[in-house]
Amino acid sequence: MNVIEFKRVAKSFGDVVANRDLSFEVKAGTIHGLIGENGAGKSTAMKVLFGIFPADSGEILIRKKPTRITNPVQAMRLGIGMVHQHFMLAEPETVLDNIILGHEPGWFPGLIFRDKARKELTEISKNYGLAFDKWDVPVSHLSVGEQQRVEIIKLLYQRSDVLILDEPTAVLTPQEVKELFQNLLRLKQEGKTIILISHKLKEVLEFTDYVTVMRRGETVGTKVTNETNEDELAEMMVGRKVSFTYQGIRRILSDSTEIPSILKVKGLSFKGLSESCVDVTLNLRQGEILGIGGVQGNGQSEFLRFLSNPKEYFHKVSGEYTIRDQSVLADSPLDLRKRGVSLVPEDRLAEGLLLQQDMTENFLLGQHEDPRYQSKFPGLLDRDAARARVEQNIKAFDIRPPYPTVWSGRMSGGNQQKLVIARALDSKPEILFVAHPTRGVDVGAIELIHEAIMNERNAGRAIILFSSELEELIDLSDRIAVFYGGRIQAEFGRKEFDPWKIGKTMGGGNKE
Amino acid sequence: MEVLFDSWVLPILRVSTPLIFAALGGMWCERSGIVQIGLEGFILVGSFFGAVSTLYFNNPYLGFIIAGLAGMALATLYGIAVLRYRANQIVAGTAINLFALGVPPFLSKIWYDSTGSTPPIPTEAQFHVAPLYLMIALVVICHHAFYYSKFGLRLRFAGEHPKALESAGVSVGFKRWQGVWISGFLAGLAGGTLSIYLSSSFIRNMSAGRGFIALAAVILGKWKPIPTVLACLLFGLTETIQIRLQGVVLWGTEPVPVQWIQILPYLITIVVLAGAVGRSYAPKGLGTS
Repeated sequence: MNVIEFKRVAKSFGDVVANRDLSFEVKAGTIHGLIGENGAGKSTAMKVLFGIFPADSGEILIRKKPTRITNPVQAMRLGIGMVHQHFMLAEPETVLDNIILGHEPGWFPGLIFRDKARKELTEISKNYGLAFDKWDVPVSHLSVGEQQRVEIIKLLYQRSDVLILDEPTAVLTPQEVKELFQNLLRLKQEGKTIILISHKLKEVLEFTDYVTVMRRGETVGTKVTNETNEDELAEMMVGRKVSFTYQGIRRILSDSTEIPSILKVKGLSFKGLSESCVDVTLNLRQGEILGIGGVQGNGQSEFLRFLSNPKEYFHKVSGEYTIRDQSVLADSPLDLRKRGVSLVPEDRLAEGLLLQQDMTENFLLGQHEDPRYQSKFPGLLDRDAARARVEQNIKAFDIRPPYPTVWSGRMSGGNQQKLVIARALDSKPEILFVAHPTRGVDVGAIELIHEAIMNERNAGRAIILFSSELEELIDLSDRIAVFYGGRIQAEFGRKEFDPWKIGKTMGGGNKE
Repeated sequence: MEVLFDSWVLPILRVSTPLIFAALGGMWCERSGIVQIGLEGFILVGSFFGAVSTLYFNNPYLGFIIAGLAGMALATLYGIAVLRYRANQIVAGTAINLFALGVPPFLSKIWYDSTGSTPPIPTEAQFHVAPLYLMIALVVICHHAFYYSKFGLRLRFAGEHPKALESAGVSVGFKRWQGVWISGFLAGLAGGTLSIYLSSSFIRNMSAGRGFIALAAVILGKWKPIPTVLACLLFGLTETIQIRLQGVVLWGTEPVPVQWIQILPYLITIVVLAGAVGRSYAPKGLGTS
């Protein structure tokens, strides 16, 4: 039986068409994958189903009945629940309170019967084999994987039987991913229907029964998972053939250890605002990419902040940080830039771009002291020189729309990222810190960005790559260091790369 | 023992009463996600209308309730500004305080031909202990409602994670309205205790910064009921010390100038808050409507 059926559903916002024509059906008791690039309209489709935006035209059938869902509460009553990418959990509150919110047992103005709820939840987690019992712990004490499980239990408590999961594996270690899918398979056995929104083809192929591909607001088609493969799905997603791994680009420099290290960090410890670093020691040679991995919140972000702005940490740091054997502990970001360091920041919207300024303006950020962009009059900038350079980069990186006067806030995530990377490479840096270069970037742009990074490596630059995507680290890095609890939990050479082993150390396990 | 009670415990509880009323109100409002710096204004109109209606009806209980309703009416104005029209909460709160400053002088001129104060309330129409008991009851009720009722749970989520509340099918806006109204009502009652209980008439600018001290107590109490009440008692203690030190010769032959002593509660507020900064975490959704 079809629990959910989309019939020619369309939704636009003003002139922007988010969903042009959605038609697919989800069979009861299956795991149904919904894949597509960023901006293909997956999220909008689910928001329409969830009643957050009403559809402009077309029809949605719930259990064969045409239904017009106008708000999330109605969707909830119909048994449709969603685990959002950003969890809907209040961190200081207990797990129990987070779950029962809005459905508290007890009479209305009156007291909450927490014991009753606790009993019911214990039963649910037992029935569905979810192995969870930390009901009275604040959510902030749980790992990301556990928080996700709480979200799933919340849906079960609300008696949802269609569970929508939006990019559920983006924040998990490979171990946690495995556990999640074991739980989902169990839920399927118990008769629940699961819709899995994802852009990771591998997991979709491994765990779903059916898969619907979306491209540019349309459903391209639905396949039985067993009868399709990665290449076919990728082609459906992108509309052309895609190469997935970058082994195509040769690694020119060998893994020789004879090249001296250009950047050294030794015994580095400090306490940051939310994360700390403990006794971190790293060396970086020219012509290599050092990957930094780990589950978010284990010190990598703070480490990057330190690397790119050591001056800010001058008074609270112990250990050494040298570039070409000179200590840079007192350097400001501008000093580092003069030593040939360049940065692609973690969050391009918050740290990388001024969204209400044009490309040229953004391109000059941090390069305002570069002699190439100084005008004849001291203290003034030579905008024409900058604009000409931007135009070259627009061509080289295929940035769209191709006009230097476009506000960066009006560009798509992938194009914004290309601009940030073009800027970082503009000064021909010898050392490059790159953080999450492909976060929220579509497949086509990923290819180009990876290629650019690889070319820099082959040209002899020393690169530190921070990423939460293990696959990206494995594809690009020469070595990978994994952070856990502010320490380097393990380091892997290219020959030792094994997602499972690396994943284990990301969760705090040992290398062997 | 009795001396201790009469000269310290009772005075501290008395001067803390308006702070506790206002601070608990402020706590509810801030936990629902709305910054509440308008407490000062609510206290002021509460104390004025409390005194006026006690004089009119010759009944402190009626006057007390009207004090609360007056605060609530002003809070409604604030709610319209920040919830309906999404005005900046700090600016709107400041406007409310300035507005409240002008209301009593204006009306007292019309009603009593005075410049911002009311005639004295006769002794038989004054409160003697009732607000103290009401305050203690309020503390117990707030604590329980905060942690053990649906209302408390949902209101806490409105401030901490409004989207989670929304997706659980509960209106965030209405919860915030309730928070604003509670703060108006309780701060109005705080004003009532000032004019009908702690003194016997309304005098100009009678709140004297208590609204801000109450807000400081909320922050010091980390937006939790019992710690907030304890913070109020701390400020009550400093005020009591301040009263006791007036005219006392501490050294030399002259008493310490009264102005210096009057600084004390405010000084302690600054010191304590500065010491508590960084360890006090506001609700995540505070001020984000």
